[in-house]
Amino acid sequence: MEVLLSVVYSCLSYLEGDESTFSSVYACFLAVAHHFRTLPPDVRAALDLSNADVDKMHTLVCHCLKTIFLPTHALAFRTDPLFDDLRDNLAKLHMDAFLNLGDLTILQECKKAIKRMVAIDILLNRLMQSEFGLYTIRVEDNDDDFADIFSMPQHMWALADDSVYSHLKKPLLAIHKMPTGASAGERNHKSANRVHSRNRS
Amino acid sequence: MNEHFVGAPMFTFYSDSPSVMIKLRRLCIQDTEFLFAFGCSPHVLHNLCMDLVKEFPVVKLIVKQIVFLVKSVCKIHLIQQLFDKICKEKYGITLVFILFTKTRWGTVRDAAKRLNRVWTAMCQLPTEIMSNDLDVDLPNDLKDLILTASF
Repeated sequence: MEVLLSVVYSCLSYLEGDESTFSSVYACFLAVAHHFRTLPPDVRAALDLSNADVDKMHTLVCHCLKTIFLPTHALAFRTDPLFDDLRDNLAKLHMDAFLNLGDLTILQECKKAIKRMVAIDILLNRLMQSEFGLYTIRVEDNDDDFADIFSMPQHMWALADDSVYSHLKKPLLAIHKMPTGASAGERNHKSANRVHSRNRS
Repeated sequence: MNEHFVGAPMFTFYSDSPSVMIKLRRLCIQDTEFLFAFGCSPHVLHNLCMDLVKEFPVVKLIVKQIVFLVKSVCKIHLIQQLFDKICKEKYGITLVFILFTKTRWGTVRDAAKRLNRVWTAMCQLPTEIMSNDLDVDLPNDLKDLILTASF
């Protein structure tokens, strides 16, 4: 029981913290799905879990994510260099399809998110899509803007090269700054001493 | 579009009512004025745990057993005192049980973890009652569960 829920609650504790990044939402759900798929045999035997049950758990993870999911989650996850290795390793361990927790593939979700951001501006859509394409095929050497994976993604995007990512930079900066849960807002109310005010009662 | 992202104010809505929040999110997604409408991810992970407890019979049974054990020991004062004494002898400190509560994040895992930690003290309860000749009977259901279950 403890083993089954350990990863879920580790992710939960991380996501309610101040330091959690928006890109980590999708990553946490992937980590939980991976944990369910790779439960130790003794735990599976103790909990009487068959392969069908593990598939059902995966479906539950997808279903739960869908209640809050927007393509922007996939875009944030895809544009955070910290999770590049995680994505590659999970794709190798399971299949590429394992990474798709939404209805479409991650790249399709990203394109959908960009399309929603630009609304009807076709030219801007094309520019942002091409910049996103440049990001996905970038060479990961020491001169890369995103080499220091231990920085927060919003900091890396703030320092990204304007000549390459001029259109994509600002929207992604805003997205990566988004809070992961209601806890951040609640904390904000508390620190501003607005928990019990005339406006909120 | 970029004007949106230059020092754009961010408005957030909070309500204690889940149905209000769900409705609000749905309206925000339908309305093209809003670019994004997100939900609270820790809440969703908590809901996932609740779904696991509901959907899988063995997990549900274990949670039921944990709640039964915790409530049974805590409601009889003499057993609770004896349990504290055994804990003090075994671990050097008294440990309290954690009760699973649906609305408190993490209590499923924490309750199981704590019971796992004090399980040897728990198993010692029936023999301690016999040897101390206490004027208290351990309920049969509780005794059976202590002898058969493993956490």
